[in-house]
Formats: sequence, C-alpha cells, structure tokens
Amino acid sequence: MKTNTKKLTLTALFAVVALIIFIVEAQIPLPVHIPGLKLGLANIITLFMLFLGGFWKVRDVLLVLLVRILLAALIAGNPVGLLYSFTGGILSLLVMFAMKAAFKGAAIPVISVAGAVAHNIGQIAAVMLVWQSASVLVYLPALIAGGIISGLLTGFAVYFLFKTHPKFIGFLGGKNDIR
Amino acid sequence: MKLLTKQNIVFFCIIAFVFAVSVVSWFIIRNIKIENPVVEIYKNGELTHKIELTSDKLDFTIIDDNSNVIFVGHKVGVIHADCPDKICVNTGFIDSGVFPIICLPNRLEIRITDGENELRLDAVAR
Repeated sequence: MKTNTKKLTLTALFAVVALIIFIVEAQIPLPVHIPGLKLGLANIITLFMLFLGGFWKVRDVLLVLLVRILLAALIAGNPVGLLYSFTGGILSLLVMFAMKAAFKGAAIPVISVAGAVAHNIGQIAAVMLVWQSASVLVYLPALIAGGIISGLLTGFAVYFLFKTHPKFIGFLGGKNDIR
Repeated sequence: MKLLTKQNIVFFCIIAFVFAVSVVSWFIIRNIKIENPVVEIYKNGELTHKIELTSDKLDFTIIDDNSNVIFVGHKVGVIHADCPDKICVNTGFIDSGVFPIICLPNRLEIRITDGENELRLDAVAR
C-alpha cells in the first residue's frame, strides 16, 4: 500500500485533535447526569473526515476513531468503558457511512444526528448484552433525545467548518463538494 | 451545499418528531411509581443485596470492592465511588422510580423493584 506522507501526518493530527476535544469536553459539566450521555464533541473529527472526500476513505476514519477511543479510555483511566465506546463508535460510523451513501442530498447535521443516536443505542445495547439486564432500557428515551441535541451541535459545527473554510478543506486533500 | 432542500426538511421533521416522542416518554417513565419498593443491588450481574425500603429507621452503608459507598435509608444512593465519571454519585438518591443507579465502570446497578427476584448469593441483606 502506497502511503502518502501528508496523509499520514494529517491522520495523526486528526487523532490528536480528537483527543484534545475529548479532554476539553470532559471538563464541561452537564446539567443532567445520565449514564452514557455526553456531548460527544470528539465526533466532530469523525464527521469531518467522513465528509472530506478526496483521498480520505472510510478506513482512515475508522483508524482515527479506534485510536481516539483507545487513547481516550487510557487517559480517562476507564478501560472497562472501552467495550461500550467501541460498540457505540463503530455502530455510529456504520450508520453515518450508510446514510451518506444512501441519501446523496442529506445534510451533514442530519447524518450527524443519525450517528449520535446510533452511538447511544449501540452503547445501551452493549450494556444490556454484557449485563444481561434490560433495566438500563429506561434510559433510552433520554439517550435518544440527548443524542439528537449533541448530533445537531456537532453536525452544525462541521457544516459551518466546510462552508466557511473551502481553502482549508482543499489543503487537507478534501474535495469541496459537500452538502 | 444546500441545507434546506425538500429531503432535508423531511429529515429535520423526523428528527423533531423522534425528539418529541423521546422527551414525552422520558417524562412518562419518570412518573412511574413502584409500590412497596425493594432495593436490589447488583454487582457484576449478581444480586448481592435486597433491602425493603419501607422498613423504618433503616440507615446503613454498604462498601463494595470498588469502594462504591452505598447509603440505604428511606432512599438509596451512592455517596462515593472510585470511578472517573461519578455518574452514579451524581444520579443522587432514588426511592420509588424505575430509573436504576448505574456505574458502568464498576458494573454496579441499584434497582428499585417490587421484590420479585430471588437473592442468589449468601450476602447479608439486612
């Protein structure tokens, strides 16, 4: 496989930015305390990479996602949460990728919301499977509502990033034909 | 790069609808009350404690392996935990609702039920 140095450097940079976002986000207190609910701002990087196009493929997004989840769990000192994060993260990426392919005209915030909700459903499904208990299901409505809010937040962040910085997108090797 | 196309408006309507449904069901679930509440404490999937909440003057704490300190009185709640996110502590105290207290990292679950499940371990319940 031919590896482009610029791409390699940028991939590492994306992973670092995602981690920094994760660390900063951990300092922001939420008004409600629901297990598994968070802002999920690090998803901005996943979403951004997914829509870059050009030489950026889904496997690059997956790579950055896996690196971020693994390192974030180590930084937060919470390796047990890894399984839940992996399930949520991968399901989220799958849903976003499928939606992007299926609906050519779907806006970034729409796909972001679908991804965020999929993340939370994946997480709760993993907990139910591991715990063999359905009692966590009562948190599902809150997690869906929370996922919609955070999905809109990250979705519009990425949307405006694409809209206002076309030269930057070109520099990153992306194609500026996004929705 | 159009945001308000016909397709996207349909998508945003679906999102708004799902949001409304989940908020409404959240409030409905929140108002469910359990009669004769019994606290069930699960550690790693095993039921370790089962305590009736209706008993009078029942104040004690349980300290488990991961230093989750659970207080049981007329309400039950986690007052200290060694996990990084402290969700279980921040959930506060529960007495008759259906929302369990959950600590994902330590695999701890505190549930309010009407007392149907049997205690599987020889743990001290009272």
